[in-house]
Amino acid sequence: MSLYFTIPFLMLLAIFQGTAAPQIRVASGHPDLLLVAILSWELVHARGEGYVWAFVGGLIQDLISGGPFGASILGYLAVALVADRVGGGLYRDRLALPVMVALIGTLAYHAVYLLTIRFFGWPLDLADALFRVALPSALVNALLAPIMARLMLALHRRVTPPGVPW
Amino acid sequence: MIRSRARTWLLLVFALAAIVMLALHEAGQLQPVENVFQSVLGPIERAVSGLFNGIGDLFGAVRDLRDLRARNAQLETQNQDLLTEIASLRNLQDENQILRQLLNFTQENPQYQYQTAAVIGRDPSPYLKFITLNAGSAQGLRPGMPVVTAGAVLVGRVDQVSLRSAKVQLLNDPSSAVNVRLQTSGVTGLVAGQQDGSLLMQFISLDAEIAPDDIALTSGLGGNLPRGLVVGQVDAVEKRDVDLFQTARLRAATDYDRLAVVLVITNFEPVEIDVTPTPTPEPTATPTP
Repeated sequence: MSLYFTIPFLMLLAIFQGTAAPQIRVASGHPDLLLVAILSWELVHARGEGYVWAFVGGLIQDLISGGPFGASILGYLAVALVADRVGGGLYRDRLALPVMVALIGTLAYHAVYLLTIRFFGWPLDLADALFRVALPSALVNALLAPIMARLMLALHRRVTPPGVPW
Repeated sequence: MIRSRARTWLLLVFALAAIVMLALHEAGQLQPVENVFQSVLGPIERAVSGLFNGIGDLFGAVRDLRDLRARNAQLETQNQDLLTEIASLRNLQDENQILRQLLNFTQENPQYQYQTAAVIGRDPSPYLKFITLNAGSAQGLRPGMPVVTAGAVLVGRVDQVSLRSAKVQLLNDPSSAVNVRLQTSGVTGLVAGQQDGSLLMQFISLDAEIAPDDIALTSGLGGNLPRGLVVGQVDAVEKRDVDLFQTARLRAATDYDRLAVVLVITNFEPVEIDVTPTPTPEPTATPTP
């Protein structure tokens, strides 16, 4: 998909992440629309564009965040990788796939992100972070994923010309 | 056809009857007859009158309905406008209150120069506690500058600055650490942000007596922050004989999630402590006599 669309769209999601999302808490977890959008697009499109989305989205998020620059990019690339390997292009209105990929993808994101920021000097307890933040976030994202995947499927059908049958 | 003579007679009779009735009415002799007629005619009159009034009301009601609808629409618009105005006034009232408190603080601490800034964003990561301000290097902000809010409450320090925005590391960020001194007991320690967003005062000597609700102020040690800014209040003390130090959990002096407007102290110069050893001059051998 054109970057003319991708960049403003991801920017919008990142701004939401930096303004509204911190106010929405489930335990200490937050919904991560960027993450859900990245994995949904990769599930639907499966041409590696999830990686482009992960890079662009992570870059924007790192610009907004005060954390080490690049941590979000790495985290989102892990999400795109999970989506690509587990179910890239398999999503066709099925509910279980985006839920499963959102659960695994969120945990992968938090694992990579936590290790990165720990490496850069944030003294975080990994086990506590996993149970208190990552797991609730994974559940919230798993709830959001089927909705986002449907939206992405609709978007995919609009932007991709119908394929020629073999 | 009645002939003209008969018509004259008829006229005269009726006229006479009328005059008689007038006379009888004036004498009050006709009242019973009038009452009988009134009792019969009254209801009919009321019904007919009601009917005509009803028709009149119907036309009136249509007109009124049109007027009422217009009025209702007008009132709804007015109501919306008033609600918007109330919301706007409440925002202004809140902002005014915050600014008044900040103004009081600036008047009480005239030794500092301040830059007011609004909070325009928060860190998207659930692990990091940063806020983004709408002022940057163009407004004179530099990394390391202290950020305060009303009541001389320290919020954090400027971490990264761009032309028109700045990121502030809040006190409750896990990588934040501030030297403090308790106001009453004078006990010193280090307040560090915790993963759950709370504040923990560490490195308090075991023999120190800590009073509950004692206020933690910046000690100025290290030269990174001005002295006397409020950090929090002692909430609970954890003291174990097996530990080298005791710790105290602090209640933050402000709700970091609700910060809207802050002040950046722009004329405070953090002291850069150079840890590289300076070369000491070699002792020169003095000739002994």
